Amino acid sequence: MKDIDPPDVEALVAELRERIAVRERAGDQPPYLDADLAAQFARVVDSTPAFGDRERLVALLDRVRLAVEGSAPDHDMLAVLVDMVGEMANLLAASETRNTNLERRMDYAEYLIEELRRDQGGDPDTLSALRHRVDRLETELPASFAPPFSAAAFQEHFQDSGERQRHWYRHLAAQFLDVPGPVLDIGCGRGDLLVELQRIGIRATGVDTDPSVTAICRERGVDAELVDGLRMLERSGSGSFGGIVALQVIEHLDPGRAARLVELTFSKLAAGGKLILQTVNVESLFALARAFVIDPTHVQPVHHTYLEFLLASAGFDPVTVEFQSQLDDGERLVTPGDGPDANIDRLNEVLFAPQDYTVTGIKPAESSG
Amino acid sequence: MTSYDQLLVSLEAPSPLRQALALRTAIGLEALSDIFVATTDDRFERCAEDEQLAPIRLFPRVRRKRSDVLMVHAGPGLDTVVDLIGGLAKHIVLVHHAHTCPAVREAERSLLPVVDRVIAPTPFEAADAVALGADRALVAMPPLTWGHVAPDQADPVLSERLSKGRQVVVAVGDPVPGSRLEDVVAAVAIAQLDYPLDVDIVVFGAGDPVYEASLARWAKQLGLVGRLVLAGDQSMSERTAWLRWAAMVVSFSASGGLDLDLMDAMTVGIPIIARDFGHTRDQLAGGGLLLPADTGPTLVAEAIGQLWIDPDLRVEVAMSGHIGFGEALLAHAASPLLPALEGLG
Repeated sequence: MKDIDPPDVEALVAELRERIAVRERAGDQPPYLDADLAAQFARVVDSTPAFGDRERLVALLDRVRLAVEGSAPDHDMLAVLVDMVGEMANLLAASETRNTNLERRMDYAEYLIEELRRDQGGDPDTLSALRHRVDRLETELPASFAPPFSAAAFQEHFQDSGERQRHWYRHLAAQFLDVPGPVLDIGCGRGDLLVELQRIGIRATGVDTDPSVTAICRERGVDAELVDGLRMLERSGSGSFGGIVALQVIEHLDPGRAARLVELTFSKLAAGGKLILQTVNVESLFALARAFVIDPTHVQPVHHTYLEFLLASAGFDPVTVEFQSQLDDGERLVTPGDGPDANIDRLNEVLFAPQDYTVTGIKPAESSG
Repeated sequence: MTSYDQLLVSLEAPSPLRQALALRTAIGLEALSDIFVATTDDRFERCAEDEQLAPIRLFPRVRRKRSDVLMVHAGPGLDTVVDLIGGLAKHIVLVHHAHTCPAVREAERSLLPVVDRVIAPTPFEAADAVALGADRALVAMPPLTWGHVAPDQADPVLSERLSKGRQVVVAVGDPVPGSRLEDVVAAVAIAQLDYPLDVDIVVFGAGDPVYEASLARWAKQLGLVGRLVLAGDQSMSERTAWLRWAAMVVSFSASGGLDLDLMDAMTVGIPIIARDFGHTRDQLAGGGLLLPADTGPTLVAEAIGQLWIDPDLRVEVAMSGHIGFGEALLAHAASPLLPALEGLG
């Protein structure tokens, strides 16, 4: 092999710099390009959304729950795992962007879960305490959007609590008079429906993820738990409820969780049980422009035909749709002339259709699912 | 000299397999019965099987055992690892790497009170450990990976890759903020404006997803659509395959610590362009194309372009690194790792 001399790096660097200078002088390359590039990349980073941490942590918590319920014997390790998830929730709450440290912790936690899943057995008391801690953690996970106000304050400000609303809750409560078991109110808020259910002697429990509203429920003497509705359903036995109601909840869920909600309600209702879901009517542009967008925690609107389809697909039969919250005539467009105007009528239908709808599904008596 | 029945090693740092290999090489199998590896990466298990690393055991099997020393490498998840398995060892030895990630550095700092000893692979990193708050740090790390970068020509996966091989620029560093991989991307984009450059850019290691997404968007903005390969963690064989495609290795090293990609490149004689920062100068041992510390993408672009069009220069740069590495390897043939652990156990 011929001898190879090492390059004269200093001379080479000088040559390279001179080439750059020539380009800059000729206008082929802008001056300060390095600095401009650095600034531009900083903008790219700033505009790249942080994604996925919360979703992954939620999924992780689900897996922790499964590990706990799988009666793993290594309680110390399991307890550490639960603590880790709590710590990760804090880390997530304190961080506006995804960070690698959190990511690796999640990796590690997932890895440990796999380890724990391989063993079975366990002390029931310890596991029960761990289950309780896992349930608490669910409510401590930061929301994908954490509003700087409580649900109670929001509802106090925006929700109608007048006679018309009370009448609606009475009407709704009466629909559960004949159901074959207790009623679960998911997203019970301040407990308006629970109060009406209690008033007519129907056993009912509410769940909500905001402590400000569950505290109000307790003050009003109705039963409400601080737990996510999906979690409540998951941990309940098949056929536990005679009725399940979720008012203005499904629009807070992504499509996957919405479908999961319907699926779970079917399995947790007793045969003959009733599910009532209420949400914003997408076919009312007035409602979309006002009721839907006014709440920043809404994820996406759900069309009534889709929800009807979802319930039917889950096995509910029959499934019916009913529209509510008709707007006052004062809100509607007025016909300019004396006679009727088909265009105005049509516009009124599109713009000012009822603001809400409910979909009601019955779990067939012969169903075993 | 103290002998150890077990050494428990947490390898959350990048390239866990290579570090395990290095430890095995450095410590000598006669010095201990087993090395246990704690890692979250299931690919490691497959790698370990592939490489027939019989003395290396994975963490699950040692979970309830107590080892003499937990040697934990600074890296993401460090504090979690120590929380979980620190109690399994009598002593904790922290191997400090000059990480740029603030979370890792903070985890190291908070861990220092319970650490029995700090060791660092390079003098630069030892000084960095002291700056971080360690009372002192011993320089002790084996020569890494030599002898392991030997491509298996018969490997069908490698053969397939090589058959349609497109040359790549290996950008050194994990994809995390501060690694300055964006400068490598920018340099390639600039170079291809003036030179007939036709390469992909490959980045090894798992990193920060936001940074990775930003890098991908950056490459697209600079006209390198589909040309940036975020390869993730790679096995030895996979890395070897990439290196065989590598036209050059470019390092803007922002950490300044020991860099395994540079060592691999020197081992097999791939030209290196690197920024003079931290330990990089020592590591290159006079080889490669070492650019000033204030180097930006425009200067690197010129260097890339010149290396691309000048085969003589390419050979000079490659061989200077290769020869330098060989000399450094001889100088470090006797690892000071075991003496650094003396007294523990």
